[in-house]
Amino acid sequence: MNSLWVLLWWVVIVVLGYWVYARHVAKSIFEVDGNRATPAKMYMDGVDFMPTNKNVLYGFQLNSIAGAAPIIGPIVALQWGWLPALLWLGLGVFFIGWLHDFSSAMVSIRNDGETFGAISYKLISPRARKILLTFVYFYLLLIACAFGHVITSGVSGNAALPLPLLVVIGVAFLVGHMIYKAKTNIIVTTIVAIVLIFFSIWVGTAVNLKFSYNTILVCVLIFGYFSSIMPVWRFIQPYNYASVYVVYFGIIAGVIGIIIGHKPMTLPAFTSWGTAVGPLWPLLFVTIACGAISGWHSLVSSTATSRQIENELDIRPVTGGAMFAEFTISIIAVIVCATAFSDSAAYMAQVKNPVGIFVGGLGGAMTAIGIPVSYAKATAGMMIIILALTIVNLVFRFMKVATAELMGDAVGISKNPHVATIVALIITFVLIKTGTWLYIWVLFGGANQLMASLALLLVTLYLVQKSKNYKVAIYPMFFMYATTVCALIYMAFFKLIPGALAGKKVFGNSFAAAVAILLVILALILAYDGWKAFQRYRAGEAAAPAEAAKARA
Amino acid sequence: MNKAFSWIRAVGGYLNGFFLYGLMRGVHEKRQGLDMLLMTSVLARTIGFPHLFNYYHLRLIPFYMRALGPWKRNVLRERDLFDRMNDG
Repeated sequence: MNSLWVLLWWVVIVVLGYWVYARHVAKSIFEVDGNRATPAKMYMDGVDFMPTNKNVLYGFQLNSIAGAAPIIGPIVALQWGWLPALLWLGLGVFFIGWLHDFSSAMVSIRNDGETFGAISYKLISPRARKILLTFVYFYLLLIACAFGHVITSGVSGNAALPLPLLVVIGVAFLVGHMIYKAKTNIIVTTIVAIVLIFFSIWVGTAVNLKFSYNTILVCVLIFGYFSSIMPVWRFIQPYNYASVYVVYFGIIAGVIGIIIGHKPMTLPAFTSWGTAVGPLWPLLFVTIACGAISGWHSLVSSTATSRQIENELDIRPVTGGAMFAEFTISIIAVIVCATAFSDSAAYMAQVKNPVGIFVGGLGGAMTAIGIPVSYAKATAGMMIIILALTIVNLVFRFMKVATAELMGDAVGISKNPHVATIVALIITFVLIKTGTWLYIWVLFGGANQLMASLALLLVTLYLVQKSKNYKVAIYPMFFMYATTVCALIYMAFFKLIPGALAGKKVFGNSFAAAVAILLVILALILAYDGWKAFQRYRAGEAAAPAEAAKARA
Repeated sequence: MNKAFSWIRAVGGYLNGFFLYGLMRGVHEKRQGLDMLLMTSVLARTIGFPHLFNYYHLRLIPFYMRALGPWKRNVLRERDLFDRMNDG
């Protein structure tokens, strides 16, 4: 089948999903009101609460949510064939993904811009907040391990990447200095950064630097340490700014290359219901995390975005629109990978190195517009490494704060940023070295999707409390909850524990299994508290009509 | 023509948001942090923080009256991990 037919699927999902279904739900169920004051207007302070133009906010939302997961997840999920991947991506984002992002922002906006921690405290129970924080800590740990391996295996497996990566890091420091200290014009700074980065990619294709996996891993962790400790303006912010141009170039060149090349999909549409990773349900739905639905987006929507929306009518284009844009990135990933291999065996030989798969696929697509093969592949590799490194830097920073938040009262030294960061780095290092990456990726997906189902639980409770039609949220919540809990249980009891008992990567598999079981327990407790809250609100809803009848009588 | 300009403005807004907005937000956060610190040193006693001020602090108060509400909310607002995800 020609890959251009996939673009037709994309058009159908985006048009019907965004302009028909999303518009209907926003209007009839959430009753968005353009005349209602948002927290950005009510509590404007110029930074956190700041009414912002919807187009600017859309770009910011997309930049915040788009990472390497919408690319890597579909690549790994092609084990089951491209058809299940496309179906889940399309139907997932249509019924669940955009709704999750939209409603997370909506619930926060209708609660004075409060975060999910505060909302869960109010809507569910006081202990729900603590449980959510604990959940988030282990979720962040899995992100760090999953993406840490992606970066390490990608850079150590491709000799053209170390040099441009070092240059990007150096350019980040340079950009930070130029903007904040030297007060250089932003356009000049941008041009300098872009020229240096793209030149270094070209040099990297000629000057190959080969480093071992362990060396790169240690460098990534040292790097993560400095990202966590240094002020954001020194490194993380200028890094995000300077490196995103590579990502954007890769996406645009890749899309044009796909349309011009329109290669046939060489991988099979469907392979089998069970693969080496496990059964299609529930694992496909957690392997493809971002692109269909992602719990990370609820954190972004409910913290940063909800406090900057200037009009409720902007919520759908900003949050829903960004989610459909990320769906687009996943579609591109499916196309480039399904067209890159001669058969399944060639794909399966590389599935543990998704960076290599993406490099070959997108690099090949970019050659259709005249970019030399070596440069195209190096750019594709840098694109995915940059995306993964952005996430890893942020995650170590959040883990530092989470450690202090969770353990600061009990263990005083955990409030020290250096200690908290080093603890996070050590755990990450141990899990990467001793764990099985494919299983950790599925665990990350499971935790991510479980986070999404918890966000949908909050949305459901909000809708019940307001006596609105909650079915649009509760059914997706049930589906995601059941799928992710089953996925985590399956991974723990059918893959990780048996692997450890068989003597394979004993510590890593045992630790990963313990994390999976802990996440399931935390989710069950939250579900129990959520069920009690649901009954409370339903009783309140049932009581209202009886009281109204009494008043009439 | 107006519609074309509105499309161009929309694309410009999107590019601004995607590439620059996060960076500028960081700059504004730094600035706000310093402003809040200075205001707190002047107005701390209004929120129960025992702080000795002098005559020169009092001379700054008229400049802070418009920002009094946002300052109070900023200082007294409870922050958890999810809030600090946005902090620098």
